[in-house]
Amino acid sequence: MKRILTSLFFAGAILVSNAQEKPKKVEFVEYDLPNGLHVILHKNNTNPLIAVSVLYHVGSKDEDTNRTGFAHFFEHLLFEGSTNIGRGEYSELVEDAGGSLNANTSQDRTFYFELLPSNELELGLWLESERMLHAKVDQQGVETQREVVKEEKRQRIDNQPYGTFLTNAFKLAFNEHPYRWMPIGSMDHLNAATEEDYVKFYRTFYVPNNATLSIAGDIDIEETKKLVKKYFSGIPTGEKLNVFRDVEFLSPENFVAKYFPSAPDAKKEKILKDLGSKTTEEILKMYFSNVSSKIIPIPRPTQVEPALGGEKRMIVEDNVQLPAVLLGYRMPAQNSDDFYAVQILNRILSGSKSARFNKTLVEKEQKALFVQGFPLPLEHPGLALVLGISNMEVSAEDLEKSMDEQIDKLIAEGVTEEEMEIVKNKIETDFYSTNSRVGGISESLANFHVYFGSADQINKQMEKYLSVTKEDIMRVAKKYYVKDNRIVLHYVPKSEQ
Amino acid sequence: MKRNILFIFILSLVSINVQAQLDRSKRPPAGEEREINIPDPNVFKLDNGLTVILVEDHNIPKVSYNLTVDVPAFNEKQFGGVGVSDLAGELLNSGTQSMTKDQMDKRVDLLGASFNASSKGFFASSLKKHTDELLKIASDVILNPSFPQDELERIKKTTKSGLETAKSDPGTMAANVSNVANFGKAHPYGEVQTAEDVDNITLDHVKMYHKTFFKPNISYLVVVGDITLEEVKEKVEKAFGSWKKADVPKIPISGVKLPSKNKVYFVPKKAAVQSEIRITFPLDLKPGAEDEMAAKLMNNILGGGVFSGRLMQNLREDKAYTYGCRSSLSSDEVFGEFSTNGSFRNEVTDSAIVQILGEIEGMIEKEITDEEIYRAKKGMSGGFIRSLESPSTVAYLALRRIKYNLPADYYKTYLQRLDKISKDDLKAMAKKYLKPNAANIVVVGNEEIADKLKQFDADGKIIKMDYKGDIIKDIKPAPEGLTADQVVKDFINAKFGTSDVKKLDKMRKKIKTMKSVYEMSLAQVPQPLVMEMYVEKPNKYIRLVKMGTMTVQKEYFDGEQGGSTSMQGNKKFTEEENTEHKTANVIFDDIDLLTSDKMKFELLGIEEVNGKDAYKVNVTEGENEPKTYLIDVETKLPVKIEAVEEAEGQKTFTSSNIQEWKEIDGVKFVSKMELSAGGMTFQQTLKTVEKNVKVDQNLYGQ
Repeated sequence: MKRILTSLFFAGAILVSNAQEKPKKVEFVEYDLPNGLHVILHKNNTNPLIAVSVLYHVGSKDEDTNRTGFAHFFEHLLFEGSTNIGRGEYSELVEDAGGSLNANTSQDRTFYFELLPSNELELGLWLESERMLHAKVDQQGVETQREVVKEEKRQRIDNQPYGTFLTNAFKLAFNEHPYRWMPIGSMDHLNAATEEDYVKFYRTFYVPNNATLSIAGDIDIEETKKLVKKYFSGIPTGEKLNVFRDVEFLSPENFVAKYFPSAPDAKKEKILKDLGSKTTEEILKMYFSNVSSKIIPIPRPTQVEPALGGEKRMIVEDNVQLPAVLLGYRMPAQNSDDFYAVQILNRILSGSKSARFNKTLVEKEQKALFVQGFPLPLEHPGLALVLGISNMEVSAEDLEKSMDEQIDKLIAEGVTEEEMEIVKNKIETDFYSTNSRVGGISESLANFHVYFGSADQINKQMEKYLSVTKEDIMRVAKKYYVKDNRIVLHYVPKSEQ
Repeated sequence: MKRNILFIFILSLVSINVQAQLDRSKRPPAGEEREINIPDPNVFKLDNGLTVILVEDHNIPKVSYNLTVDVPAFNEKQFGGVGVSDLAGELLNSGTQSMTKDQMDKRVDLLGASFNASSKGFFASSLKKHTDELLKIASDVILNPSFPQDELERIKKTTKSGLETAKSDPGTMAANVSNVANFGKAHPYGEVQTAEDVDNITLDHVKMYHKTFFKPNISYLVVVGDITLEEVKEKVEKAFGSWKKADVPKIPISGVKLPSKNKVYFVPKKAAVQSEIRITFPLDLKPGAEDEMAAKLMNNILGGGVFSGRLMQNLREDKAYTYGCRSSLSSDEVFGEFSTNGSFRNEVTDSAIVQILGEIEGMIEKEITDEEIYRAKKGMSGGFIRSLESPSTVAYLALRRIKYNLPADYYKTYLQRLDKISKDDLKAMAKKYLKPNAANIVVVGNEEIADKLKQFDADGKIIKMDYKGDIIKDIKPAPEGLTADQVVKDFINAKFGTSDVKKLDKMRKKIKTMKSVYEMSLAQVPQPLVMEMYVEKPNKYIRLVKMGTMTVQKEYFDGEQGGSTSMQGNKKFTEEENTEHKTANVIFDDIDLLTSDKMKFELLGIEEVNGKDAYKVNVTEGENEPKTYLIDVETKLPVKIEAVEEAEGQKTFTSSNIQEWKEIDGVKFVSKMELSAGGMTFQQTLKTVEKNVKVDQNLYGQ
């Protein structure tokens, strides 16, 4: 009797969950300023809060091979101050307003944000426009932040058990593409960097046409549009922006030497005088009215990573207690159709308590303390990782064998209707959680605009996931989750060797 | 008319101009502040005492239920082993009387829901359309858990694996040792779980935990989401109305001893490239206490939440010693805690400690500026307001207010009260709560930096601990030529005045019975206890523990069999135990060390005990686990004896710290010692010893 009841219940649950409602649309306004800055505004007046964020489309994949770690280092430097904001004042200004701020850097982007009371919208716009127009980087800031970044690397990577696994995985999986290094980069490169390197990086990537300003929360759309215009429309573009920054950051003598090397002395004299007394805008108007405002295209990495062409393996001896296995499968970019299927496949393997890895490797066979897959959502083709940490007295080889069995079984037998239901129901629930905070929404909208070419993708994601079929899962499993397409890392305790 | 038009035209030009001429040099002014509205949650109680708190949020179609069982702090060692509550919580996820774990996991997953039970309740969340089904599962878990044995074994195994990873994780290592340093291992907050604890925990312990504490009358159910009061009343009554209320026992716990001077605890971590530093001490601050808000604000200026705290500005932005350095000051029903935390590269470990201690001291000694106060207040009020974005925060505040019995308007007046805190208030808080000269300085790091830490210890010594807060002793080699036999012989000589076996035998023969009386005290029992010990040749004994005139515990062996009587009931010795007692000498049993041929000794070296050198000798009798004697190099008398004893199938580590020996009729007796076993610590003092007294033979037996 009990059995029958249970199975009836299952059937009921499936019926109920089949009736997926269409989620409420996330409304927003988006437009470009003439200088190329993309603006996204989302209004939600429930709480007197706003998120002001700027996404710069620059990450570690945009770095020079000999200057890795630069994008992340800039994230630190750009809190140092601007022409109008003193060293250390970024955080003080935000805290004094009762807000909070932070930033993060990935392989593909650098993201800055402030969470503020809604009556401080203008403060957020001022801070971000200062960063975009004329962030100031001095030697003291560089020296300090270089040490801070080294400590960050020691704390997060070197001194953590398994802390180097991403670094090692990407190094093994990529030879050509700049994904072969991590955002934290090389400390030697940071040590070797010169002022010229910093100036070049800032001028190449920190320009309005490489940025997305995304604001969410308690705003009035029209009023906000006006304020955005006030703070951002005056930011020049192209060569004009470079001259603008030179006026402010070069010494008057160097400025004259750079732009007027052969002018007569009298003219040099006058320019020097004007540099000391006029505003930057006035200088530009007086001497550089003809300088080009033409938007300079952002250089993008063009390297295409060839197929892996066979399994690559590496053993890492580390200060860990339990062995770990990391599998990394080369994957398409996050905006490809295949990537949706890969994400669902991954959740069937490890997305919930009833998922396969958990049920078999953790609970039944008790080989692993934990097994979790995570396909990294990257702009270019990247990696889907599966990390397993062995239970006591289970070797890495043994655990790898069991992980392989599960993946092979999925390829051979496919997935069930019930598994598809579970994943799709979870995705529906998650949709609401991600979009329940203004900070989350402003970030999602900016990401979708940059990586998918449309912020409105936020409203199309669900449909994309729901359209994935069992056959799609089989197809991507066979295509990507094969040994020739993967790297394998074993982490083993040092003492064992 | 024309004029007017011109005027308007000019005006509009001016206004355009104003807009175009943005003055970037000034911070833009803030707009008008919107009023903060903290919604009033609905609170009601079921007949069984379950308090339900509802915060409605109709923005998204989700509903969550969060059950908090207000389990009081208690010593887990006495409930089966440290971690028994976590195991019980984990095991709640392993199925109910009507569904297996696999069925349950699948049911929850099919709803697209999340459900997780823990030692103090559960969290369940789903879309509104699935809320009834989810609540049904949650209620079944709390009321009818199945606690399957095989699941317990599985969870024990993963728990032990998890403990393994703690051995190399600097954060866990530092947290364990901080807890031991601040609270001591006998306090619930100082208990550190070991693999032995996990082994000792049985299904009965887990069931006992659930049976004792999971009661509606000490529980709170917080409901947040797209649901009305009416709906909640009906659903919760249906789900939890049948949950039976019952009294939950108050379990006494030991007090907390505040540090009196700076002590350094060093935890070696192989090949560490950074030192994890915590400067920490316990502090008495209860949730909702009058000082709470001002003390936290003071801490925020030092190094709490905000980036501009003094610790972050000095150690990161100025010195670049670290990626981050912060401090926390927490209130707690039992005992709160202050702690700084941060990771620093090896070379600057000592400099970092100097700076952190300097900043703590600076809060007391140096001026707190108006600017700092303004910023910290804004940081705190801003954080408060931002947190209100999440309806679960609103619910959490209500829970806290009800749980700690705070005034109804406690959070409504939060911002006003914050605003009123003055510079003098903050100075007073720094003086009262910060202890730069009575702190525990915990460092997890590379062995090479250890010596540089001595300067921070008031006594110039560092206490070395392993990841679980056990002291690591440095062992020096014993003098060449000295044997274990000799050390033991010297001990017997020091105790009895001779090590001549014949003379010792003679001494022993003169005594037929002996009665010794001890006074015992332990933190958990307010009144001192008296222990009377009768021994009678060759192997009989009676041990009585009395509280006042009442005997609360008795143990005896009459030569053939023995047993015990206590409030837990009567127990007879097993056959094995009887045989063991039969062969044991009860009078001057130390003499057996020289006379018994079953004894084996091993001299491990010299170790420091309470600042004095002691020989470390392992004494193994037959097949038993070795006992470790630490024998003072000068007096030749033991200062510490450690053993693993087995009682009722459980292994317990016992440690006797001998503080004083006293000579009575030519023989030295332990007159003062501290005995620790299973998370409890007794202080035992010898009152009298009498020889050849008459033993009331009626006392043998139950």
